[in-house]
Amino acid sequence: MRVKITRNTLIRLLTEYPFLWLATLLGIFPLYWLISNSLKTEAALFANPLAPPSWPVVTGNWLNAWAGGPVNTPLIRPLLNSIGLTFSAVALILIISSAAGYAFSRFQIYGGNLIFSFIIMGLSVPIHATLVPLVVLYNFIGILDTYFALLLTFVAVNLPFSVLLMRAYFVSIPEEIAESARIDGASEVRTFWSIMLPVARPGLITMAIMNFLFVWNDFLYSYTLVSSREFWTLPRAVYAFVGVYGLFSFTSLLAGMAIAVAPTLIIYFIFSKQLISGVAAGALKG
Amino acid sequence: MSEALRRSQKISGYGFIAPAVAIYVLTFIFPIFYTVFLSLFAWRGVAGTPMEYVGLANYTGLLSDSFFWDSLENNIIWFGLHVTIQLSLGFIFAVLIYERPRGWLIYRNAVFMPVVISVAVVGMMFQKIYNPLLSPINELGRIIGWEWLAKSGFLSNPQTAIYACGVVSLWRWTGLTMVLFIAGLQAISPEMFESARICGATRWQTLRHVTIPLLKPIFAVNLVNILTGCFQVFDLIWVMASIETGPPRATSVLSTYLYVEAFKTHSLGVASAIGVFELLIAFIPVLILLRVMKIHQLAWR
Repeated sequence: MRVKITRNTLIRLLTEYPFLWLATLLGIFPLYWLISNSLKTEAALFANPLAPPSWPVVTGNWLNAWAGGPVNTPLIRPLLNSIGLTFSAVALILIISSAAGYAFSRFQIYGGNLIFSFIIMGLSVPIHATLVPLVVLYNFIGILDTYFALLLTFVAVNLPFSVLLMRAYFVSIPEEIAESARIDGASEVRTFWSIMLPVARPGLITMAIMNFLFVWNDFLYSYTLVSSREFWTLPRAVYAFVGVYGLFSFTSLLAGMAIAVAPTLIIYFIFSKQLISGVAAGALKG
Repeated sequence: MSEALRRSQKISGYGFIAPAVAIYVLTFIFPIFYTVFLSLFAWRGVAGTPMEYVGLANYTGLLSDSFFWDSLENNIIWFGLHVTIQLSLGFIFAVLIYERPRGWLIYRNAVFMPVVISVAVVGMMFQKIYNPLLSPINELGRIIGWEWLAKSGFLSNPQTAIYACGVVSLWRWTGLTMVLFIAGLQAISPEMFESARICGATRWQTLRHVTIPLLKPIFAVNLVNILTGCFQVFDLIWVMASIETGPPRATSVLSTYLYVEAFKTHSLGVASAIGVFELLIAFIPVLILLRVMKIHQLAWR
């Protein structure tokens, strides 16, 4: 018996742990490669791309990328655009989809189930299939190449998923909670805003996390719906650096990418637990 | 419930869903019908010539267009790559990490980390990593003296380009699959594993007869995710393997081809026809989901 246990443990030590460590290494390596090389001179990079940067690290690449390099687009504006768009889009999605999810879960709406299933069908609509009509539509109503085009699209694309999630969440909240508020004479809007929404907080957080990741990381829409530099988001601006490669040092280019990655990595290190459980809950419910 | 309350509920109910419905009609219902409509016309965009009705010509044109078929084939290769490797790796990681071996948090966080990074930035980063002068794979080739490995540009070689991109996508997404499996494993009651252990089941038997059957719904969720994701891939291929005019034949997929037709060659009709085709493909996951709901019902019974 004792021999068997040690043999099993040995097998695990020799197979599972190296496997897990290899996976860990592969998961981290590209980011190590990016960040360490962005802190080197170009000569040092081509001499040995795997070596850690020598001390003191080269900060010029980051400053160069931050200043916008040859494309002359300082990254401060795209960063603020990304932050502003993400916050406003996530806030709008939270309000609109929780209101709709609440109504679908509680109220007698004529054709409510039908409308709800129609909205859920949006989950399977490929985002490229509607791209051309959206551009034509936005052009027609005059919001192409404005913040509104991005904002409206971010809200729209995440709507079906968010409504589904919030409806599922409100269904799981006991009816008595809303009932007691109504008895106290609260209006429907008040009941929703000051009783139901606070109760639904965990659902809202899950949804905010999922939507944050989508909006912050979007590339397609900021590449398609806006063309003026003033509306560029962070990934879009860094992509412009790639286009002028040759005018821009390789290491500065890497620094630009590192700047684009940094905010999400920082948020990930702080909230990794919430992010992981939020994404899992969101994807499984949705 | 009193009649007045019911009426007030009804009215506010419509008010509550109104914004969502309005946005949905504007950005989903209208575009879907408009895509179908546009696909029957030859149109070069607002600034170009007026629309000309061409019937099904855009569709028949696509059917005889080898670039379209190659793009579809790349989508299918992409799906094959993900449905095998992403699903199995994600599952294996989940099973190993779920048992909480020493350092499990490190493994989990490292594997999941790529999921939070912008796909576009991931693509740009790997495009540089694949540079034959810099890539660790080529470095390895130089060290062990394999000339072909040292010199090959996996991304520039048309034979390997789509797989080179696929590996990056696997790196980006496997963590998500893993996390979903872990959530699924945590939902299984520990008694299940306990009783299997008491019955003397080996780890492999437990996996085969307890874990995998109980995780069937999670497998389905992941499958639907992968299927939807694989036919929507755009960002990664666009930034990794495209030139000014879009990706070459070797890496073109439906969405990049749609993009090129719409915004580079300005054939909005053809682009819309590709869009309709994508819509049809998108119904496959819906059908699977319906099947899964049946599985769920069976599980409840």
